[in-house]
Amino acid sequence: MNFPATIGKRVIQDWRSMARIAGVIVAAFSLAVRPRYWTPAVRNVFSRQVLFTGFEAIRFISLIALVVGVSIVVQVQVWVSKVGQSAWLGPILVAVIMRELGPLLTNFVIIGRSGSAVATELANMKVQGEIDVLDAQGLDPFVYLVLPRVMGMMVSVLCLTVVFIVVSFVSGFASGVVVGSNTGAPRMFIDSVLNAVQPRDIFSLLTKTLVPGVLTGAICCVEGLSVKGAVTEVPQATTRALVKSVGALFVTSGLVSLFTYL
Amino acid sequence: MSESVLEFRAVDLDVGPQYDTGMKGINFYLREGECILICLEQNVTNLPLADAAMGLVPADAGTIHFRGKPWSELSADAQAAARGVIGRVFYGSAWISNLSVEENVLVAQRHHTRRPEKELKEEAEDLARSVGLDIIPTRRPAWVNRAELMKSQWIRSLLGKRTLLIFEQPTARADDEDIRRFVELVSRARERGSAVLWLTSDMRVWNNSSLSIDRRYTMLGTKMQETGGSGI
Repeated sequence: MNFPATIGKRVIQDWRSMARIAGVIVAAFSLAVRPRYWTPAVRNVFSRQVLFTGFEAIRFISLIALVVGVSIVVQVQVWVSKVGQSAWLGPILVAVIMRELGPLLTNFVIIGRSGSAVATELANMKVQGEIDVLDAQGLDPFVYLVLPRVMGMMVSVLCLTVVFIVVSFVSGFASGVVVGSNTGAPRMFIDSVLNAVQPRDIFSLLTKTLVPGVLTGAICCVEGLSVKGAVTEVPQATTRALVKSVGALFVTSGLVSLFTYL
Repeated sequence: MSESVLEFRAVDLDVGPQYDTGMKGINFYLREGECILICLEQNVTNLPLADAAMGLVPADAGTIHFRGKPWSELSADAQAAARGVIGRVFYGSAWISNLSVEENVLVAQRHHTRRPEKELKEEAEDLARSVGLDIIPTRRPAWVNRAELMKSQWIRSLLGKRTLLIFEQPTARADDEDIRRFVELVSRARERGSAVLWLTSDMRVWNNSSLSIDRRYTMLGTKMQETGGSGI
């Protein structure tokens, strides 16, 4: 096959893949707004997804947030006080932690920790014929497996990002006290951060958590369920899911940042 | 005469990669409370019949009707709802590995019905006692022995109000006492109106006098032949 044909084939494949993922997301939301699909069995899967993706990741996310707080928040405090620009403490922290690092690092953790687990689990279910078992009991695999996972991922990423932001600010301020770099009382620090939060920061936070969360959920489900039946396809599907999820995360973050700063 | 619960009209079924054989020219019907027994040939036990009866594999020719309507004419939601009133003992893979056996048993009822959790569990526990289990195992299927898994499949298939029961070799690992208990439960389900499609190669079932059979068939190659007597 010649070079242009290879490029063209790849572009068509990528386009189809994106269309499939978009279709899954649209279908998931169209089902999610109808209460009759949220049966006790589906709610149970959703709760487990939030427990695994959200709750059980709190410790790890907090640890990363702690390191970010100690290294970045303290640095900002030190440098803004050195150059006599303490008024910029809040805006800089909001721009760095809330807009960029918080959503990005949280999504990374979710992709690596839960995205891989979802893709592997669904791929294994497919290989072992468990999807057919669900279907035979009248449990639509999309409703029972995909819908709660996509929604669970979305909710978890948002909640974990909030945890990340709070822990990094608290740990940053606390370590500032230890190293003596604080620019004022806790109340001043909190006011400085809260006053710096603009509506566009909230928009940025929501879009950088909810959109990649949904994309990760949908990509990992689609790739996991795309295996045909061989065990050797499982790690390949997981790798594809992770690569695509990371790609989607960067594209989304980049576009939202661009939009926020315009 | 009541409407058929399940009806195969001149159905041909392809042999997919997962089955031992295809099937040709299948004609039968099954009404409320009736039981059809199909005797399988040795080493040809995995047929597409159960999947086809549930609308999971399409017919190559002919039509398969469930409660008077062809599966092919039902929407995806209607098909899922219809499968919710069919209880099945699977021949092959039967369990969701990341759920406990108990959750596996209850999940379809939790999805299709609004029955209170307490009532569901009580019915499942009653069924468990009836088949000789103290409790339904709360471990994952990989950690449960085959006899308990077989009985848990029986419980799952009989739980709730079932219009149709499909059994694929349900007694393969059962002793005579287990078979007696199972047949008793199936008879009770039939009294409540469940129709039964039973595929077996177990002569203890074929010759079981307490199981009142409406029609008997024997598989011969790809054909299903009606058999009059109690033996083959």
